[in-house]
Amino acid sequence: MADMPTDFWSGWIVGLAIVGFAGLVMLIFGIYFGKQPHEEAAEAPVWDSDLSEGNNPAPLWWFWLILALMVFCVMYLMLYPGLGSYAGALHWSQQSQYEQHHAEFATVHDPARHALAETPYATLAQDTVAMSSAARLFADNCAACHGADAKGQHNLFPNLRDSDWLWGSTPEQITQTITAGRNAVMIPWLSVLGEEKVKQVASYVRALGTPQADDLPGHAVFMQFCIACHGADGSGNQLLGAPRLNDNIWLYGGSQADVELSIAKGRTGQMPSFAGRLDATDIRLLVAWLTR
Amino acid sequence: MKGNGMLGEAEYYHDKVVMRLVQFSMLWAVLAMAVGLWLAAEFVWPTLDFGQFWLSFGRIRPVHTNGIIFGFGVSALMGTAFYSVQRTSHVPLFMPKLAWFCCYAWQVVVLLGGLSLLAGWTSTKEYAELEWPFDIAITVVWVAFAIVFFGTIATRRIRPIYISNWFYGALIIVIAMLHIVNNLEVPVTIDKSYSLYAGAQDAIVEWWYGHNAVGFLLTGGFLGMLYYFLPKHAGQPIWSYRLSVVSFWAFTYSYIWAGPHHLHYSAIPEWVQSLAMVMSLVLLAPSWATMVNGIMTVSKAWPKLKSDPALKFIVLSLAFYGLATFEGPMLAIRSVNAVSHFTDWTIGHVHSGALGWNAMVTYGTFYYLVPRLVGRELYSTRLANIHFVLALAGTLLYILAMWAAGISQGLLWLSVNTLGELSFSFREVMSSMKPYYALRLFAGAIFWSGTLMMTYNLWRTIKGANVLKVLIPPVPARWRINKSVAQPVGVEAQA
Ligand code: HEC
Ligand code: HEC
Ligand code: HEM
Ligand code: HEM
Repeated sequence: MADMPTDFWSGWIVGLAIVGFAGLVMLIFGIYFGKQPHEEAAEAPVWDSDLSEGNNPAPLWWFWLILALMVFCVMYLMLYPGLGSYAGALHWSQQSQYEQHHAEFATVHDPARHALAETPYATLAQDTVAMSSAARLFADNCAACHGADAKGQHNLFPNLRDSDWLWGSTPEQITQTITAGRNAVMIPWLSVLGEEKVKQVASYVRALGTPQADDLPGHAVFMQFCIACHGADGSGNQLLGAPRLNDNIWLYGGSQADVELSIAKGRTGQMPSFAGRLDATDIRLLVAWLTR
Repeated sequence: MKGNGMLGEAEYYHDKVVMRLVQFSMLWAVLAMAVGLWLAAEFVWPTLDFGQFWLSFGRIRPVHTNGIIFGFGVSALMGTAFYSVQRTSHVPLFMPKLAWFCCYAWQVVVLLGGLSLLAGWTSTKEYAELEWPFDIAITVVWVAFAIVFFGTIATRRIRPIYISNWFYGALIIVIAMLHIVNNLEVPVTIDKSYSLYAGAQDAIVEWWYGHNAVGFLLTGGFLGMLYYFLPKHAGQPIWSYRLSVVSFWAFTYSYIWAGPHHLHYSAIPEWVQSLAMVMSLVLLAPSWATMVNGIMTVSKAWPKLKSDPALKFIVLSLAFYGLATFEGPMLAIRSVNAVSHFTDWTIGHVHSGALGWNAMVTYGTFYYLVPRLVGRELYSTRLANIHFVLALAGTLLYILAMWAAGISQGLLWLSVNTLGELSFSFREVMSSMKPYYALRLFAGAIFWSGTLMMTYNLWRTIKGANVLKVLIPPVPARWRINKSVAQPVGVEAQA
C-alpha cells in the first residue's frame, strides 16, 4: 500500500492493534473468571466515610456484548483494510468503491443521459425533469454569481435572462461560454486618454444611439480608440465579449460615474470554465434552460 | 507545610477554591450558552450579525464551543476534582495556593481567549482554535492542575485509589498529551502560528486531539464526577467494582484509536479509518457498562429519586450518556457516516451528549454540592424541579430538531432523479430547514432559561454564607497508609 512507507511501520500497527486487543480480552476474562481482590478482603475499602465499591459480578450480557463487538471487529479487519498494509480479503478501497458507484451510475442513468445529447433544445425546454434538473444545476453552480433568478448582479455578473448577450446567444456560443469560460479584457484608458477625454468619451458612450451623439466632443475619441472592439456604431463585438454600448443595458452601470470608471480603470470580467466540473450533458441541460 | 498531625491540630479540606470554580463554571455556562443561542438565531435570521465581523457566525461559533468546553466544562471538572480528590484521599489539597492559581489563571485564559477569538485570532483547528500564547498558558495551568491533583493522591492516607480519581487522572494526563502534541506550531506573530503538521497528517493529529478531547474531557472527566457524586448522593456503593475496572480500561484503550472516524472518506489512509471505526464500535461496551453501573447504583435509592432534583439530573444524564454513546458508534460506521457527515445529525449528536450528559450531570452535581459547601438547604427545590423539566424538554426538542434536520439533509443531498442529477439544490434543502432551526432556537432558549434559573437558585443558596470548614474524617485502620515519619491524623500521635 502506497501510504505505508515500510514493512516496519505496517508491522508496528498490526502489533499494536493485536497486542492491545489481546490485552483487552485478557482483562475481560480476568474480570469474569479470575480471582477478585475484594473477595479475599474482609471488607471493601470505605472512602470519605460512606463511599465504597460493591462487589457485584459484571453482568453476563455485557460479556456477550463486548465479545460480539470484538468478534465483529476482527472479522471486519479481515475483510477490510485496517491491519497495516494488509489490504483485506474484499480488496475494498475508497477508490474501488468510487469506481463501482460510477459504474452503477452509468448502467442506470447513461441511456437517459445519452438520449439527451440527441434531443433538440426546444424539446428539452418542454421536458419538466430536464428543466428541473437544469434549474438545480444552475442553483448549485451558477446562482452564487448570476443570482438565484439568473438576472445577474449589478456591477459584477451579467443578466442571463435578457436578450443582450456579451458572447453570443446561440446554443453553440453559450455552450462555449460555459465549457471554456470567458475572459473579457478592456485595458484602463486613463493613462492613454487623460481625465478630460475619459469624461468626454463617457458622455458620448452614454448618448450613443441618439441623434445628438455625434455632435459631442467624445465622438472623435471614440472613433480613434474604441471602434476596433465596440464597432463604429457601438454595437459591440461578441467575439471579444465587447458589450453593445448603444443600448441602455449596462454590465457595470450606466451612470456617468459608472461609465467613466469602466473606461478609466478598464474591466476584466471572468466567467470561469466549467469543463472539469460539469459534463456535456449537464451543460446541454443548462443551455436549454438558458435559451428556453 | 505546617504541623504534620501534631496533637489537637485539626485539618480541614480546602473547599473555598471549589466554590469559586463552581461559580465561574456557572458564569461561563450562562454566557457560552447565550452565545450558542445567538448562533442558533443566526441560522434563522442570518443577518443577525448586523454586519459586525465580531458577531459573524465564524467568529462566535468557536466562542461558544471554547467557552462551554473550557469555561463551563473545565471549571466544573477542576472544582469537582479538587473536591473529590481530597475526600477520597483523606488529605487537604496538595499545594492549595497552586490550586487557587489554577482557578484564577484558567478564568483569565478563557476570558482573554474568548476575546481573541472575537478579534479573529485563530489557529483554525476545531476546539484548539486558541493561538499559541494561549496554548502555552493552558499548558502551564494544566501542569499546575496535575501537580495539585496528583500531589494530593501521592500524599493520600488511604491506600486504595477510588475510581473517580482514575478518570480525573486520565483526563489530566491525556488532555496534556493531546493539547501539547496537537498544538506544536511555529509562531510567526503574536496572533499567528503555523502547525508543524501539514495536510492529511495535520487532519489526523487534529482529530486524534478532537475526539479524545471529547473522550477524556467531555466523557472521561465527567465520568469522574459521576463516579464520585452519584454513589455519594445515592448513599449506595458503586454497584460493581469489576465493571468499573473493565470499563475504565476498555474505554481508555479504545478511545485513543477512534479519532479518525471524523475523517471517513477523506485523504487519510483507509486503514486508519477502519481501525477508528472498529474501535468506536468496541467503545459501545464500556460506555454502556458505565451507564448500567450507574443505574444499578441508584436502583436501591429510587424513593430518593422522586423527591431529589439533584439525583434526578444525574440519573437522567446517564440516560443521555447511554443515548450519545449508542449513537456515536453508529455514526462511526462508514456507510452511516456517508449520510450523517456534514449534516445537522452531528450537531444533534453533539448536543445530546453536551446538554443531556455534560450539562445535566454537572447541574445535578452542583445542586448536590453547593448547599453542602455552605451547609444550607437549597434555596428552592421547586425551582430546581422546574429546571429539571426545562432541561429535559430543551434537550429533547434540540436533538429531535437536529435529527429531523440532519437525516433529511443527508438523504435529500444524496437523492438523484432519473437523469442521475441531484434532485435538490443545496439552497432548496437549506431553506426547507428553517422550521427545524427555529425549533432548535426555541429548545435552546428553554434550556438556557433553566440554566439561568439554576444560577439564581444557587446564588440565593450561598448568599451571605461562608464556605464550611469540613474536618477530615479518620481512615479505617485497615486501609490506612502509615507514614513512618509522622502520624497523619492527630489522635494517633498521642501514643
Ligand atoms: C465566479 C462567478 C461566476 C460563476 C460561478 C458563473 N459565472 Fe457565468 N459569468 C460570470 C461573469 C463575470 C461573466 C461575464 C464575463 C464578461 O465580463 O464578459 C459571465 C458570463 C456568462 C455568460 C455569458 C453572458 C453573455 O451575455 O454572453 C453565460 C451564458 C454564463 N456566464 C453562464 C453561466 C453558467 C451557466 C454558470 C454555471 C454553470 C455560470 N455562468 C457560472 C461569472 C460567473
Ligand atoms: C480591446 C478591445 C476594446 C477596446 C479597444 C475598448 N473596449 Fe470597452 N470593453 C471591451 C470589453 C471586452 C468590455 C467588457 C469587459 C467586461 O465584460 O468585463 C468592454 C467594456 C466597456 C464598457 C462597460 C460596458 C458596460 O456594459 O458596463 C464601456 C463603457 C467601454 N467598454 C467603453 C470603451 C471606450 C469608451 C473605449 C475607447 C476608449 C473602449 N471601451 C475600448 C473591449 C474594448
Ligand atoms: C443553550 C444551549 C445551546 C445552544 C442553543 C447551542 C447552540 C449551538 C449551535 C447553533 C451550534 C453551531 C452548530 C452548527 O455549526 O451547525 C453549536 C455548536 C456546538 N455546541 Fe452548542 N449550544 C448549546 C449548548 C451547548 C453545550 C452545553 C455544549 C457543551 C457542553 C455545547 C457544545 C457545542 C459544540 C462542541 C459545538 C460544535 C459542534 C460541531 O462542531 O460539530 N453546546 N451549539
Ligand atoms: C462511544 C462514544 C462515542 C462515539 C463512538 C462517538 C462518535 C462520533 C462520531 C462518529 C462523530 C461524527 C464525526 C463526523 O462525521 O464528523 C462524533 C461527533 C462528535 N461527538 Fe461523538 N461519539 C461518542 C460519544 C460522544 C459523547 C459522550 C460526546 C459528549 C459530548 C460526544 C461529542 C461529540 C462532538 C462534540 C462531536 C462533533 C465533533 C465535530 O465535528 O466538531 N460524542 N462522535
